[in-house]
Amino acid sequence: MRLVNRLATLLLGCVLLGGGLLLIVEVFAVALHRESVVVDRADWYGTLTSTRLEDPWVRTGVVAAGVLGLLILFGQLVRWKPTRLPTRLADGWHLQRRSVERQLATAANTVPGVESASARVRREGLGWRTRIRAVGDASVGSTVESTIRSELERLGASPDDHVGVHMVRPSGAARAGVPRVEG
Amino acid sequence: MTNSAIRTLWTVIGIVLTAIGVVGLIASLGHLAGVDNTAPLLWSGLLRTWRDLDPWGLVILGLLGVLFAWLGSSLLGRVLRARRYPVLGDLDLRSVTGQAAVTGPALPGATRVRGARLVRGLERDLARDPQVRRASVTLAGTAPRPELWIELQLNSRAGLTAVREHVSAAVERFRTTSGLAPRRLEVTARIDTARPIRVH
Repeated sequence: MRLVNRLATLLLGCVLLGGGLLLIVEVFAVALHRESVVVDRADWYGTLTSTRLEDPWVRTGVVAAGVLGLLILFGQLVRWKPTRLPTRLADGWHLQRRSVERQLATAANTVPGVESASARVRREGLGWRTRIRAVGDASVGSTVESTIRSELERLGASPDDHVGVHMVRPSGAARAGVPRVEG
Repeated sequence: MTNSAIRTLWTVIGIVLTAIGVVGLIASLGHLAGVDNTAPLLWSGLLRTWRDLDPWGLVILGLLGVLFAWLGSSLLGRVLRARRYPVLGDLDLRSVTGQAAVTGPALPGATRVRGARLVRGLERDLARDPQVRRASVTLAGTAPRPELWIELQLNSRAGLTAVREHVSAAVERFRTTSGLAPRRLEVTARIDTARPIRVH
């Protein structure tokens, strides 16, 4: 969302700059009694004086503007994923969220029996809320959780923070114990 | 421009667009008092005002064009300048050494320390620890109330407690050297993960 916002602001800046310059050019064209440069004045005048507020396409345009406004508002007011997480190490210390997630996923991957793991960390009050999704047998779930807890402790999270481990059963071939053929 | 400033800007734009949508729809349906929904978009009253204003209407439009162009270019400049925190510029040593220097005999000239140099020194000091791969520091605020924003890139095996001690020692050395006592210290650490080695 931060990147989208930044790009949209760049676009808005370009539109404002371009529109402003165009307006200045057109004003000079009118003042010097010259032909229109980009905007066909007579055509626009004809359209705007013959279109009424109740016409369906005016209504459509207005509703579209409203819907766009609501979508923009929703995008801004909804809670964004934090880019950094506070740690309990010291006041003012933070860890970048993505790097923490990568680190936890790597730690979960080192547990024997886990094929692949992904981690999601959110801020919850002053602590963290960790969710691990790992492919592997359900019996290694507790090992994964203890590994994650020790890793979290190393990163400065509180031992009371919520850690949820969701084990996904491996796909058919791996479950049947068929060795994977490579190449 | 900070992310939160951009967020505020777009919230305002969202509110304005929503308001245009709601009011426009009510007016288009003919329920808005004082607005005739069968009148053309350029209604006769507006055209009359425009003709009465002549030639000042053109001047006003031209000024609006200048205003839009200026707003657009300043917005572009603010977004493209990727400065996230206000940076403390060069330091006049008199503002650091405080009262003693002010009450003493007024010497001609002033000593200035480049803020960027101080920051560079702290970055190098921080990066001396092998656990710290890269450090980038921003000195913000004012000379009496300086703020330090530190971004660290850490090794995946780094012990955060040890790193914290190293950072506090480095900040303490910075304080002694520059005479600036940071009122606020913000540290954001990123852990570089070595790619897991998978053996098949």
